[in-house]
Amino acid sequence: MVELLAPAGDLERLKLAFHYGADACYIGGKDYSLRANAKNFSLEDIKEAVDYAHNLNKKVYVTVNIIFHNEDLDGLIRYLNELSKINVDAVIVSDIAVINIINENDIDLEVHLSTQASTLNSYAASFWKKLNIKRIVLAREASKEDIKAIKEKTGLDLEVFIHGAMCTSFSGRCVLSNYATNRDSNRGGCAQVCRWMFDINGSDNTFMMMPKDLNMAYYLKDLIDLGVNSFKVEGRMRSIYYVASIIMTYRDLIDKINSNTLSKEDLEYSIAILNRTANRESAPQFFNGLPTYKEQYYNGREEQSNQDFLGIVLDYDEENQMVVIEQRNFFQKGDKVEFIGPNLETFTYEINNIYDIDNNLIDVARHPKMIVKIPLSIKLNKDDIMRIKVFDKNDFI
Amino acid sequence: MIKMNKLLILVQNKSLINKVKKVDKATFLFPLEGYSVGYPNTFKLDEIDEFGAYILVNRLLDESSINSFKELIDNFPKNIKGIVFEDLGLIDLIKDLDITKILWQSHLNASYLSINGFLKYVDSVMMSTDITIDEIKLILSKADKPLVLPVLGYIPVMYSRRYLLSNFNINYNENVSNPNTIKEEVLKDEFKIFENEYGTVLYSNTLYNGKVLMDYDALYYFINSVFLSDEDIINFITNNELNDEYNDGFLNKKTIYKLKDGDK
Repeated sequence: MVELLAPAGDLERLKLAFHYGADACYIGGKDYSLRANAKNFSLEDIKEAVDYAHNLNKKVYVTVNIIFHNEDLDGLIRYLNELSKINVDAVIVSDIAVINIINENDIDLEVHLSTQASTLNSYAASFWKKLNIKRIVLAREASKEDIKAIKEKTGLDLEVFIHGAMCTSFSGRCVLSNYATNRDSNRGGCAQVCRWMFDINGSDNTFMMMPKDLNMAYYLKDLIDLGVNSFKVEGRMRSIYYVASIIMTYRDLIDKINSNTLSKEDLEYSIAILNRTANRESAPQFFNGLPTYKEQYYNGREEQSNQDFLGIVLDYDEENQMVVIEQRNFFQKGDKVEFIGPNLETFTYEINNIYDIDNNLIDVARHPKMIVKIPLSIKLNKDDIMRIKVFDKNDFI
Repeated sequence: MIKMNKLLILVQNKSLINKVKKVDKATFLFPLEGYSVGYPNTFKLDEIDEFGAYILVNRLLDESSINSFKELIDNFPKNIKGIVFEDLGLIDLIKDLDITKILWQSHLNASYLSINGFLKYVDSVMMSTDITIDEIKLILSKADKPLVLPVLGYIPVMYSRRYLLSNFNINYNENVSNPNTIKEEVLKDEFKIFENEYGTVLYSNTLYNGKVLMDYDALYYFINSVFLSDEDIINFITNNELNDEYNDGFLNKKTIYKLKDGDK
């Protein structure tokens, strides 16, 4: 069964990702991780995350995927031993130094090769296999032919990105950030210079390199048939709503593929949700051949911010049939919203009344994280989400 | 003091070869047609007649491309003495070829343990251009084999499989030149850009001069001649002034790891 692998920038996101259907989460420690400026996990946090996951029979992978400088090697063995003791399910690495340290010191850790290694062919995959790599996170540039050959010729576990932002560059082959900002892109300091705007000689038009996001929803079945073992979602610095919405949508798609019940309408509706959640357009990118000029942006950030995420359910008062919500974006009486959750059939609801924490009737929920109550006869669960009603599934039939 | 017999010079124009030979001897590196990216001029194997030449295979190779390269190996010319390559899939493919194998993984090998890790499989590794001279000195002192030190050239700073110039031209119905230069609109950083069939490479727009590294022992001192004139290169190796503005890259400038490091 293919694994759905979610990003988790902190414990809150990790728990939410599991709640919304992820089979595994990848996280970064305070050191040695490429999202150096995410909140990230202390060793204590990692232990809590692993214990939490294992209680659910789920997995946690820890990124140790920077490109190491000499000074970064200090403490690395100790850190890897700690991760082993914590019983993490795997480490995701890109630097051969880490792999050799694990092998030479007989550290009990399963090793996954990061996409930073940009593996595109079976010969490169075989090189890593000889170093006891269990799984390879393929280059985002891998086509279906590349994936097929690597699987058939190596038998390695393969992990592919199915959703999220793309680098313009091959992963790891970019130091634009180092040159423009002195921030080391291969040690977690990437300033995303490839998303900035440039002038180019010979034209008055703005030059941009920013790709649209990756979205493999149309090709999940093909990837399963190719033998891919894990579907990875990008975004350790994304919001809890992003994690919940994207993971829930892919969970639904995968389950329907597995049960052979996925309809075209389901798929189109899901893709609309995925695109809306990310605020950006998306494409399968390299899977079916090289991207064309249509798979990137040219006029700055062609994304429209939205405030779809209205609130998260804290509790449900069955006696009074009231849902307790922590506000995340402005909403008011009369708004048409929908509730989503992992154990909930998504439903639409028009807000008739809003009460504050002291049961006073109010017209609007305007303050971030304010606690409000809304009358609702349908029982909701903690961490269900209220969002703006944008799409109606019937529109996709 | 230029150690001429240890220069490895990437060739863009064959005219350079005789000019260098008039000064002294060096080894020449030819970007291989079909297997290199970022170089306006590439060469087929049968166009490389220089004895003792090296070939450059700096593409990341998909399954089809590496299978094509495999066919080349069966008839590998005798005059080719070495290969500089990026894709790790080649390590096994070329292991029986009696040539010098140099791994150049752009920005990926920045510690002595990483470099020694790969030196088990290759003869040498190209030193990263993203690290300080102190880091380089430590790596050189701990490396299991002599390394290749970049000493002159515009530094490749990004390699994309996308057609960034062609896409721009198609989108705007324009025809901007290739190579070209782009300038960031706020910070005004400039980068050279070149695209071929295999993708797009951006280069630093200020020439890197790492001649100071020639004080340290190496297998080769590497000159990347792309965007340089023959005169520039001859000037460099004869200790004359360079025409272009230059800097020493990150040799004396440490990059920031985490944002808070910038506050120290």
